[in-house]
Amino acid sequence: MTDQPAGAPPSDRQIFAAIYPALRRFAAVVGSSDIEPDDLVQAAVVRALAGGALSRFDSPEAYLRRTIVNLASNDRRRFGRRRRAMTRFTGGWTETDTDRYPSDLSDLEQLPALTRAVLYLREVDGYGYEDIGRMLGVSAASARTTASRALKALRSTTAAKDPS
Amino acid sequence: MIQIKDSLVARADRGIIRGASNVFEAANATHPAHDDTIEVHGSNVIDVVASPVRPARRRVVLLAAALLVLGGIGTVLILDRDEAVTHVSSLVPNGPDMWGTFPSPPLSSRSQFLAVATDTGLLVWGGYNDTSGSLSDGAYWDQAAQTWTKLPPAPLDQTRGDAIGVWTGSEVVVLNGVDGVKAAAFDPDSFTWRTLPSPAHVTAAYNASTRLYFVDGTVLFVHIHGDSGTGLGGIDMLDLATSTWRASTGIPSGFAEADVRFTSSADNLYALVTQLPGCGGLQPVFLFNIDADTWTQLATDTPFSNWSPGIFAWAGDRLVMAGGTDCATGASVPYATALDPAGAFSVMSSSPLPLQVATGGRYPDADWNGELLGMTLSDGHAVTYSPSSDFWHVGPTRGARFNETPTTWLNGQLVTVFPGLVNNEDGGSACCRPQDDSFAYTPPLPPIAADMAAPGIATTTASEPTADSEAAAQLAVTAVTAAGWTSELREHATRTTPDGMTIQWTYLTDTSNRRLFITIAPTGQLDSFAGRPALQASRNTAGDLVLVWPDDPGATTIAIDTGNSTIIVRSEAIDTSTGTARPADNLIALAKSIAAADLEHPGG
Repeated sequence: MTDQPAGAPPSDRQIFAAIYPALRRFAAVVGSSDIEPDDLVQAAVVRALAGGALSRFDSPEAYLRRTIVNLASNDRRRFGRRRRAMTRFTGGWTETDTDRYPSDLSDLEQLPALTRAVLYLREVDGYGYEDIGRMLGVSAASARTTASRALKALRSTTAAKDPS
Repeated sequence: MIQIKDSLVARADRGIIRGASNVFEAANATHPAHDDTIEVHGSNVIDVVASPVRPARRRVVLLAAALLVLGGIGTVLILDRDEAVTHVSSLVPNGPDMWGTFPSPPLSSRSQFLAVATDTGLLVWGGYNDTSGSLSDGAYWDQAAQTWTKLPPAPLDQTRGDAIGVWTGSEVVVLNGVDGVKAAAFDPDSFTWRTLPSPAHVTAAYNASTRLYFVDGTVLFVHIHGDSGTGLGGIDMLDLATSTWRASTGIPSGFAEADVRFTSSADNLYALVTQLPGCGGLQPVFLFNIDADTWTQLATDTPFSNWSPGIFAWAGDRLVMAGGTDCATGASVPYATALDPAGAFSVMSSSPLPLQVATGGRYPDADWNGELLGMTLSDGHAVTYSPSSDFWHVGPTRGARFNETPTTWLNGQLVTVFPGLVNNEDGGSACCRPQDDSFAYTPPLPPIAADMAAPGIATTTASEPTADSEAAAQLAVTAVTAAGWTSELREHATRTTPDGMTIQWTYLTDTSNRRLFITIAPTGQLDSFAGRPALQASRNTAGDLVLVWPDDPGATTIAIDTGNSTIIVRSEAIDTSTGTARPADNLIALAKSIAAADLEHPGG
C-alpha cells in the first residue's frame, strides 16, 4: 500500500487488479455452480503466491487460469459428495436444478472444467486455439478437439430437448 | 450456437463479486496469518514469503479448537474440512483467533506515530523513520470503504513526529510539539483539520510522557512527568464547545515521586499510583472529578504487594489490573483484579501470561471495545479479556517480538499498524525497527448462551452435530448465499427441547458483525411457540404469519410454518451498541427460500 515510485514495476496488487475481471468471469464459467467464482480465484492466487511474487511469471494471467482449471476439476470431484447429500436431504431439489440461465446451462454444468474453459475462451473471448493451448497448458490440436466434441455434444443435447 | 455463447456469458456473471482488492488481500493473508514462525520483514509480505501453502483445513482445526475452548456448551464444529476451503476460510481473510494482514497506510513505515480509532475508521499521523526523521503526514482508514486516504496537511508542529490524540465522537483531537504545543482537530466526515488554541501551561506533548483523554465531554491533556521526571505534572482541560483551555489546580501530594498510570471511562479519569523506587508500600487508586477539579481516593491499596501490573485499563464498569511483575523479585506474576467504581476489589482469574504489552509505554496498555479488553504483547501474542465472564484468551503469536506498537480495536479486530520489531534480535541497535506491513487479529466469538442459540425455546440440550443437522446447515448456507449475503458457517447441531422436541440448529456469522441462527423444527410448532410468554404473532402485508420476540434489543427473530416444518430465523448484532440486525422482511424471505426446498423436518 505504499506509494509506487515513478517507473517502478507494477506491484502484485496492481498486476492482480488488472487481470481480476477477466479471471473472475473465467472462474465463474469453469467452476461448478457450488463454488463462488471469487473463492476459486482467491484459491488460485494463494497457490501462486506460495512460490513467490506474481511478477515472477511471464504471464500471471495464464498461470492463474491454469490453476483455476485444476482447482475446479478437483472441486468438481470434492463437491460431488456434498451434492449427493443435498439431493438426499432435499428430496431431489438442488440449487443447480434451478434454471436461472437463458439456455443450456445445465448441459454446460455436465462438462468437465477444462472443456468449459476451452469453450469460454473460444466462444466468448474469441481466442484462437494456439492461444488457448498456451493458456491452458494443452496443445492447440487438443484444444480444438475438446471444443469440437463439446459443441457436438451440446448441439445433440439441445436438439433432443427441442426437436423443433 | 448463439444459445451456448449466451449461456457461457450468463454463467460468467454469476456469483457475488468481492472485488480485486478483497480477493487479493484474502489470498495474501493466508501466508502470514498461519505461519507461526514467520519473520516479519521490512518489505511487503508477498515479496518475501516462499513458504508452502498452508492447507485450509489447518484453519478449520484452529477454529474448531478455539470454539471448543470457548464454547462451554459442548458444541463441536463439524464443518466438512474440504468445504471450509470455500465456505469459511476463503471468505474471511483472517478468521476467528487468527492474525491476518491489514492494509498498511499509503505512508512510509514509521515508529512513534499516532494511531487513533474512530467510529468509522483509523487515523494515523506523524512518527519518525530512519532516513528523514520527523514525519508530519498521515492517512485515514475508512472502514466502510475499506480504503486509506492521505490526510491534508495538519496545522501541527511540523518539526515533531510524535503526537497524542483522542477521539471525541466527531473529531480526532491531536496535540504535538515541545517548545510550544500545537493543537488541532481532524473531522473524518469533512476530511478537514481545524486549528485549536494551544494549552497554556505545558512544554511538551508527545506520547512518551503525556496522554490525551476524552472524559465527560472534555479533552484532558495529562502530563505524566512533572519537572522532576516523575509523578503528575498537571492536567489541562479543553472545553470543545468553547475551544478554551483551563488548567487543573490541585494534584494529590502522593503523586510526587511516584509512577502514576492513567486510564479513563466516558465519565472519569482514573490514576494508579505506585511508589518509586520499586513498588512497595500502598498502591492507591484515584478518581479525578472534572467539574470539581478534585481527586478522590477510590481505594487505598491493591490486593497484591510489590506489584507493578502489566495493564491498568477501564473495562466498561470496572478497572482491570493484571499481569506484570513483582517489583521485589522481578518475577512475572499472574495477578488479576478488578476495582468497581465503589472502590471494592475483586480477584479475577489469573492472567495466562505476564502481559508485557508491546506499547513501549507510548500507547494505552489495552483497548476496550465494549465487550473485550484487547492487547498485543511484546512476544507477539494477541490477548483478550472478557470482564463479564472473567475469561482470558491468548491468541496466536505473530512470531516476532514487538515494541512501540499501538493496538486498537477496529470493527471487532485488534489492529496493529506498522508494528515495531524489536531490533536487537537481528543485530540492530535501535529499539524498534518499523515494519511496512500491518496486521489484524480477529478474536474468537464469545460463547453462546442457550437462550440466544435457540430463541423461543427456553432450553435445549445435547448439542450434537448429526447428519440431519449437517444437511440442514447446508440448506441454510445455500439459502443465505442465494440471498446475496456473505456468511460464514460456525456450527450446527441437533438439539432437544425439554418437552422432547428435536430441532436442527445452524449458526452463521456475516461480515457485518451479525449472528444468524436458523432453526428448523417439526411442523405445527408455531402454536407451541406462540403460547410462550413475551411472544407476539401477527401477519405482515404479504399475509405471512410472523412471530416476533419483542423487547430484544439488537435482534430480530421471525418464525414461519411451511406445513412441512417450522423455520425460525434470528439475526442479531454481535455488538448491540453499534450493530443492527437484519430487518424482519429479509428474514422472512430467507425462511421462505428454505421452505422452498419443501423439506420435511429433518430427523422428525
